[in-house]
Amino acid sequence: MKRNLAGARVLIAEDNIMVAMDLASEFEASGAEVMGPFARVEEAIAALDSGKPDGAILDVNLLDGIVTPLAVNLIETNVPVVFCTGVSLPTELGAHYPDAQVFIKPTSSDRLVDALALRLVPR
Amino acid sequence: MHYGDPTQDPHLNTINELDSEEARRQLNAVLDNATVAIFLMNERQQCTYMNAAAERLTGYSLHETQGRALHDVVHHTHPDGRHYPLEDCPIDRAFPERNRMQGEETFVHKDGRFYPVAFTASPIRDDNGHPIGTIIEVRGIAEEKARDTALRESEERFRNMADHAPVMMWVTESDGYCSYLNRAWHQFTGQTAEEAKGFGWLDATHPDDKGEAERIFASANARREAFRIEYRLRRADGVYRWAIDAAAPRFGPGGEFLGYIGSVIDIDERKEAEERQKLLVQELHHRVKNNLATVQSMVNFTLRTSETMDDFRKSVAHRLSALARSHSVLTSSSGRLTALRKILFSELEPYDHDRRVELDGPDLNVPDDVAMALAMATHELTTNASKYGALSVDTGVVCLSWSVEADGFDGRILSLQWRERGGPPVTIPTKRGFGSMLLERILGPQLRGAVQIEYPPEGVHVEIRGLIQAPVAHPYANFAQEVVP
Repeated sequence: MKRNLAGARVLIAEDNIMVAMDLASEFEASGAEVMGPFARVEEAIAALDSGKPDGAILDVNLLDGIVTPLAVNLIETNVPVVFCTGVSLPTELGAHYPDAQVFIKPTSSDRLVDALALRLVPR
Repeated sequence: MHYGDPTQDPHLNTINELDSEEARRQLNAVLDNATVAIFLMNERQQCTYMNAAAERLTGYSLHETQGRALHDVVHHTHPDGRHYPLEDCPIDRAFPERNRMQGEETFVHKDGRFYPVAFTASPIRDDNGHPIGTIIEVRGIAEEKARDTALRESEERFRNMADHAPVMMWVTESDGYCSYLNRAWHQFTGQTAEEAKGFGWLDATHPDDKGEAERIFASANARREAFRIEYRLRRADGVYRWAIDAAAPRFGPGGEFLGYIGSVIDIDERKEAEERQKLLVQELHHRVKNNLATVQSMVNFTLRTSETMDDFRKSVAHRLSALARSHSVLTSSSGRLTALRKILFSELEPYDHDRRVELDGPDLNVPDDVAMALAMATHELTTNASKYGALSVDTGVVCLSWSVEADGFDGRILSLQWRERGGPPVTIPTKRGFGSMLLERILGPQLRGAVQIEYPPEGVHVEIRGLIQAPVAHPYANFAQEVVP
């Protein structure tokens, strides 16, 4: 199935250089515009000032700490989020958002793109 | 009836009542069967009598000693060979001082050897109380001494061993009194021997645990059973640490209870080690997952940017090797910092001949995540140079130089220059691949800096600027510049 995400803005927060590159190019190959990839929570939150994304792929542990503040910001403003983490969601995040979609690393980038594509609200 | 008074017993005669022949016979029987050596001396300290035990002990018979001062026969020389004058001898002072003298001395046997003895010298008095001679009892104590020495040596061996043992040890007597604590105890608790002895060791236990420890010890001591107590023990720095105190009863050769010997282990240490190990395993798990994710993404990305299967195969193999190399360098580095020169050189090493690789910059350590990012960048630049740039021909040179400057705040900025020269004329690439994606989009933000790529005809020039900051949140640790051996 060839996805068409033309016109969608997707935020990527991932500090693993290789994974970040792969995800970004996978989304761009599907026609999406990529915000990031961001290796730090702080930089991703700062980028939200220039506009909200339509969806986000979030790693849990970033260079400057846990992704929670960014995740809460996005989920509370109804931005669809897919988590991809080496371990699991932080306890308080999992408890607060029991329906959060979580993939455990390694997960192939096309599966993550598919998962987020299904949750994107067409504009 | 009083058995102590022979005059009340019609069947016993006192020596006084016997005729003198019978009295002498009985007295000789007593003296010659005594196991203690007995000497009689007159007022001139000359020997007038020796019993059989005395002859056996000294090696001399009575007629050899008779008429001579006993001291000059059996006590004339110190063990170190010095002469022993009669005037110094405590045995012979019983007479002039009219007192009983007791002690230990070393005699000289007829055959010349020295032997230790215990003596008692008592004055003999006439009816008016004037001394007229001395009776000397002497016991050979060589065996006793040897036993004492053996005991002392064994005791010393135990103490020596106990003081070098890595655990705390203690010994109590049958009444519960603690008579010995080894060096490890004193070092751990900071208690002196005086403070800890007896029941003072209990003062080093936590006030909440002291009562229970005392109760278990006392009840075990009463039943003479092995026991085990867990309590918090105050370390010399005041910190309480959980400890296990395990003790076994000691019994003498006759089965008599002598007390306990016990050892104390700091189990906090073990608990901490277990905790550390658990964290290490978790960290390892995390890293393995992360590395698998890296490999998966690398394969996926390489597949997307490869034109042929052969390109793909080669690129994947090279990138995997590069990742493995970086990991080796990172693993061999200490802590969370890696020597920059080492990580850069690990990529360029295959081309380091005929002066084709120039590395120029100060020795410095960078955080591992920065090292990994720079290693990947160097790998891509090296691969590119070997395919299209300076390393694709024999005459080309790559120069990698770096410097560090202050950023005006609390961090430092690393500025790294990659310059190629002597290669084929450069053309601006039309297709954006792995390398340019990495350098232009990922590396800059990752390093909180910027990457600039230029394509002058004489050779590719890449400038990488990044904030290098130590991962520990210490006010002066934002940048660690160390001399790398």
